[in-house]
Parts: sequence; C-alpha cells; structure tokens
Amino acid sequence: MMKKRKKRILIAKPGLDGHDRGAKIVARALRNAGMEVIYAGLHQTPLQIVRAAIDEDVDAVGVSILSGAHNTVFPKIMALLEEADAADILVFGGGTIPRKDIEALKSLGVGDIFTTGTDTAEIIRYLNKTLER
Amino acid sequence: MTKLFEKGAVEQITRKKKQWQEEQYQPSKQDNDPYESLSGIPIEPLYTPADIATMDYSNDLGFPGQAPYVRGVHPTMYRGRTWTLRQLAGFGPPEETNKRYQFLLKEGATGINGVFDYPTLRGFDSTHPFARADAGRGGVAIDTVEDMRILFDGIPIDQISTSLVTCQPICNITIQSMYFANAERRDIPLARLTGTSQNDFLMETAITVSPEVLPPAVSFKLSCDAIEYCTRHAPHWNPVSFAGYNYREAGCSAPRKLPLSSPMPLRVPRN
Repeated sequence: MMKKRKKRILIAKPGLDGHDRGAKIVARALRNAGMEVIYAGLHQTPLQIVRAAIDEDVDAVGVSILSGAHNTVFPKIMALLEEADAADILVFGGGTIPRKDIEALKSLGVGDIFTTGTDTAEIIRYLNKTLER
Repeated sequence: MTKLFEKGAVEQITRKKKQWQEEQYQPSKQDNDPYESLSGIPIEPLYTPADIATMDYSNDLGFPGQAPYVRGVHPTMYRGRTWTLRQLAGFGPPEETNKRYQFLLKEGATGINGVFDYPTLRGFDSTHPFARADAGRGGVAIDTVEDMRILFDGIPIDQISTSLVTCQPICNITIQSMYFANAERRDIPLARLTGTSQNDFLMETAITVSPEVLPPAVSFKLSCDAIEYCTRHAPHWNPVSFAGYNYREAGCSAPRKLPLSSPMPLRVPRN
C-alpha cells in the first residue's frame, strides 16, 4: 500500500537580514503538524530559493521577509519559478509586510501573506486546505 | 514605637513581615506560581530593612562614582550632565535620512543615532546584485565618504554626539573611518568628535548579523584596531560599546549575558 506523501515545505529567508525567529517558529510549527520542512538558512538569493524548491521537490515555499524587500524579492521568485516551469509550487509569505502591498503580491500569484502576530495554526490550516486541492 | 536604627528594630520588622505574609498576603494571593524575574531569580513580595541588615554600606553600596558603582559610574550622574536624547534613525538614501536628522534635532534631540542598512552592515555596495533588494531597508545606505557627507550635511558634528550603530567590526571600521574622514574634510579635528561606535565582534557570531563575514579572532582584532586608533586620535570617541542588551534580545538570561559581554573589556587591553 502506498503511504500518503507528506507535504513538503521549504522555508526560506531571502536577503541580508538576520532576523530569522519567525521563519524558525513557522518551520517548527509545520514540522509539528506532520509536514516535511526544509529550512534554507539565512541570506538566500531568490535563485537559490527557487533551486532549492525544485531540488527538494517541495509543494510550497514559505518566504519570510522583515526588511521591507518584499516588493523586490517576491516578483523575482515568482518569475524564476515560472521560468523553471515550476509555477505549480505554491508560494506563501510572512513577516513585516504592509497591508497595502499584500493585494499586489497576491495578484502576482503569491498564495497568502501572514503578517506578524498570526497564529501558526492559521498557517497550518491554510496549507492543509490549499495543498489538498 | 521602635525607630529604624534602634536595637531590636530588624527583629520586629522580620516578625511583623512574617505575620503580614501569613495573615494578609497569603489568603489574598491568587497565583501559586513562584514569582520570578525573566532570569529565574525569585522576587519576594516585599522587601524591608531586614533584607539589608547585614549589608556593608560603604563596600556593598558605596557612593556614586566609586566602586562597586552600584550608584552609577559618575559622581554627579544626571545632575552633572543630562543624558543624550537620540532616536534611532536611518532609511533610504542619505539625503532622506539627513532630512530626518535635521527634523529630530529641531524637535529637541541632542544627538544622532544612526542605523545602517543591511548591505552597509555586511560590506556590500548598494548596487551589488546580492544587496540591491535590501538597499536602504532597515537603515540608511552608505557606500562612500560622499554619502557620509550628505548624511551629516549641515549637522554640527563638532557640537553634538553621534552614535553609529555599526554592529560588527567589519562594518564599524568602514563607517567610522568615513565619519572621521568627513569630519577632517570639514576641518573638524578628530579630538573634538564625541560619540560611540558599536564595534562588537559578537554581533557577528552570536547575534548573526553576518556570521560568515569574518572569523571571530580576526573580527576581534579589527575591533581592537579601531579602539587603538581612537585612543590615539579621537580621545572623546567611545570606540566600542559592550552591550549585553542584544544577547538578552536573542534569548539569553541576565546571568548568561555577563560571561558573554564582560570578558571583552578585559581582553581588549591585552590585544
């Protein structure tokens, strides 16, 4: 009998910022919820993140940005995924991201953005629901 | 009636506190957990002179400006000189941050507290492909002495003090040098500059601002080089800031922060 494949999630921290507590908390919460989590570590470029997502064959990439670089980093990741024919990988995000930017990011194809203070249970629910489809 | 320094006063206070604790405090206490500080140090519900009955006043407490400095490092403390008011500021290009500095000074700030963006902290130019997304984020982008000139344009750096949040030595050596070079270009002698650099090598390793830029020993050497230079040329500049605050922020307890922050001031002179 085939065992049901665990959801595989890459948690990534792009750019030069070192504030990774949020990324690590989310990584741990998803792991505890039974998902297979890969944490890419600090200071990743969009290209490194996209390569890791493809190499690790993940279902989703969670991108944590607190530096304000979200309007540069997300479009780049989306474009690189498209280019690599990997647009089926869900991209979601978290961090200090102003509400007015969230809609624009979603229109680029970013799944959802979870800002500071979000309950980790909400992220788990979102991934379970979205990745079931 | 027993006066505080009369014989039997401490015993009376101890007795009365016990009585108070049993009769009034305990019955109204809702929470049974031990009350502790963030570092796990138990805190009594009330302290009285009985707690300091065996204290050696002169040696354990002493006077301001005297060891063990319980009452501060200066004899007059804030009656002698008011603390500097400086709000952390830095974003975008130096032109924008300069406007902010001018505004804060106009509103009553008595010093500058400059924070730099991630590429500056890690030694990248703003135009570097790896740095571009973070340029001007979380701090001001400084790539050249010209940027430093714009940043402090019109600000009397010979009269007010500046705190440079340079984090680790690799950033500090560059930013502090640019600050000094800019002062020299404005014909301000380095001996007239007052301010502080962060210059803490543990920011690289323990706080992960940039753990991979330099190995700790080399980073510490660089920190000491900056200190040595300031001792000779900029005597009113505090060339390093040994702060335990960042270790606490990263999750360490007060007792643990001491062995992290206190060995540095002891090692610097030897280097």
